[in-house]
Amino acid sequence: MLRIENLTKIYGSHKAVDDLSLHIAPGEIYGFIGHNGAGKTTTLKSVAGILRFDAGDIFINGKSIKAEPVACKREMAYIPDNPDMYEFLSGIKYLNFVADIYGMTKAEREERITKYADMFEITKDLAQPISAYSHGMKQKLAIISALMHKPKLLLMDEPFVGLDPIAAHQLKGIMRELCDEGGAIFFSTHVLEVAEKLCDKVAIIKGGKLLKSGPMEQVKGDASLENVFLELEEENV
Amino acid sequence: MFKALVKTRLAALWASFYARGRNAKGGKKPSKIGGIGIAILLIYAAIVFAGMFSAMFFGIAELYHAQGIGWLYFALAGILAAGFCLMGSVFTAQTQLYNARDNEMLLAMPIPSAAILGSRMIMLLLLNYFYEAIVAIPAIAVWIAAGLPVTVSGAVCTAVGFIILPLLPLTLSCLLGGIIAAITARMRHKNIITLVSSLLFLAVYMYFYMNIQGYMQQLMADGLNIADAFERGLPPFYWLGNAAADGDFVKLILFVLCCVVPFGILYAVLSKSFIGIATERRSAAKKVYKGGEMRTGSAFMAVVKKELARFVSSAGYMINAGMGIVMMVAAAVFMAVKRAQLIMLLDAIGTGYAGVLVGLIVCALVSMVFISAPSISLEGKSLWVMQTMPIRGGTVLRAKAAMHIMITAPAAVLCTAAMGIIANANALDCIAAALLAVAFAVFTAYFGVALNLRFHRFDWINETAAVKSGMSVMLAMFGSMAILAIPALLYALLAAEYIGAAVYMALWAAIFAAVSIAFDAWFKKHGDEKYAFLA
Repeated sequence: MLRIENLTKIYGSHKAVDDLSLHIAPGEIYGFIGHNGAGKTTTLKSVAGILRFDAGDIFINGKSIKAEPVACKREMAYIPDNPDMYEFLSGIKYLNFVADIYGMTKAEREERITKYADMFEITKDLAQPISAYSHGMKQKLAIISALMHKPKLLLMDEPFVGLDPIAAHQLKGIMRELCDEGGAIFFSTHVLEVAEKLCDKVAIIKGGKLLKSGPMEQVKGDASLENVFLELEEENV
Repeated sequence: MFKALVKTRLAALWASFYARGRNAKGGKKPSKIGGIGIAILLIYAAIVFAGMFSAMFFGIAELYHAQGIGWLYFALAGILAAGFCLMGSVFTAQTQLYNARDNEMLLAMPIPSAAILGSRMIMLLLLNYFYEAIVAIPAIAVWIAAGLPVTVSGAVCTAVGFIILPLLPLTLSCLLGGIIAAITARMRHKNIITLVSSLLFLAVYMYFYMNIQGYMQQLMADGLNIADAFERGLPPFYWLGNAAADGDFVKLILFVLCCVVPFGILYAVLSKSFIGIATERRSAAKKVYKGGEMRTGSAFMAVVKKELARFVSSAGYMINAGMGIVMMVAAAVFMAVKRAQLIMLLDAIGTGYAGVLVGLIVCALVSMVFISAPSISLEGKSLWVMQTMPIRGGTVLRAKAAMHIMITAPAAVLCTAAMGIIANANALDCIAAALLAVAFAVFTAYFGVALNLRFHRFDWINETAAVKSGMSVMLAMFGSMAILAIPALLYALLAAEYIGAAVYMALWAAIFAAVSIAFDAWFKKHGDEKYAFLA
């Protein structure tokens, strides 16, 4: 579903991502772990097609993000760490706007908006302007807008920040459901317990370099993911 | 601690004129040239107003002194300064005292609420001194320049009086700011009150400016009656005037008490209730979503509608970028009112020029509309939304231009028709003028987007700063005016003799249309790449 090949991104003289390669197959939830500034957001933004990279390539369902950006974007969705959306629109107008861009039919948008807005308990708030939303509500709206066109690949940067426990639980269920239907998820998180329980595979990055990646059980072995992460951090100081 | 708070307030005040943060990845620092530009603009505006007040004071200084009502001169200066301060600071008082975003953060720190309030008051006071200086310095300078008597006691009273004076408008602006904050907090469409009050202010200003000659004559002819009205109806300014002109210390004390006591009471009340004011959650009645049929549309139209929603949601955006449209209405009304003089003027220069004159006036007003010029910058932190969606960057750019055209072109056509009828232009010239105005509106729309694609900024703190102070906005407005000067000058100097007005305007309409088509083609070809990686 997602193939990152030798991705390199340089800011000035700083290599934010250094020759990173990853392969995410359909049905996989792939966690991306690293300390602040490790290169997680840069990698996710490069995959989302909003950051030009210096070397390597990224393929979504076999299509290069460089060569066919619009076709790639049609198959995926991205949720940033800070869900800044159009504050001047109401929630429902924002969702309708997204649906128009993805060319969704009236029936599709009505069905999916109802489904996810009810699930995240923000249906009544959809008429409110986004500027009146709390961080958690904005996060829920961003998630709904990402899910409503049924993406095959879901990219998320710290998706659980700001979500209440019920919404976080719902999101985990949705993630599993999306992958069970053949989709794939690539997301970053600092909550290692969540990653350990939720992810099929995990990648640990530091200073833009991939330290370790693979199936969760293989990466953590008998230890906890937290212990593995801390050990790797120490080894690579 | 207090010094740090005041410094923060002053930085916030500067940022409201010129906001530019530091880009974490790009490491961009605030541009010194931009800062100097804004400073020059502020100084220029201050000089223009000071010049206007100086002209007024020159007209009355000697006259009032000769009539024995020299005090009225200073009383007038005082009331004008107070009014200027009030107009200039009431909205700042609203945002800085009642709607400041950092109120809660500061209250969580070990800082007394009186200190937080005091730092904000000092910032407002300094702002009032700036406005006061624009009136008071010309008043004092004109008095001295006219060779009118200056006594030591009078000079001391003038200095003390004008140093204390801003406390009076400061008290009023804090009260009014509180009222505005309370009203707007409960309104669903806050931008409407801002838009209406701004347009009202503009209308009053234009009315005052058009009638200034009459007011001056009234001030000169009715000095004694005005003096009587001041003495009976506005005692604080009567006392200020007497203190300044005659060095009357008793009246000075009365005036000082009038300024200091209400301010002191207000400060004490606000200090006690500041935590409540700063943390009160006022909100408009919550609108509940009840479902309903959803409308589908094309991706292009979705972006156009989104751009339109942004435009109408922001009073600052509408007032600044759409000023040309307001001016189109104002110009048509002005022409209708002054029709007789206009017809006389056209008779003098030749009635055949009516169409060209109308076409060029409307184009000049079109150049004052710069809706598309900040449209990319306004994406701000939500830029990722469009960039991650399956829509071509070129389509987004063209939709931004389309929204500008949708608003400007109909207004330009209506304005051309109205002006053409008022000026008795022939039908063919009117059609050509309307074509020229529409083609120019299309050109300015694309020109604005292209400039913003090159000169964009996403790190603005408040939306109005992004609309007002960007390089793309300046270039779009002044650049399109400069471009418009080419057909105007060519016609006046060369073409008028050889080519008919309608043909000339149609020719330039074709040129602007051709350039717009070139822009459109460039957006289609290079827009995707340029837009996708904006940051």
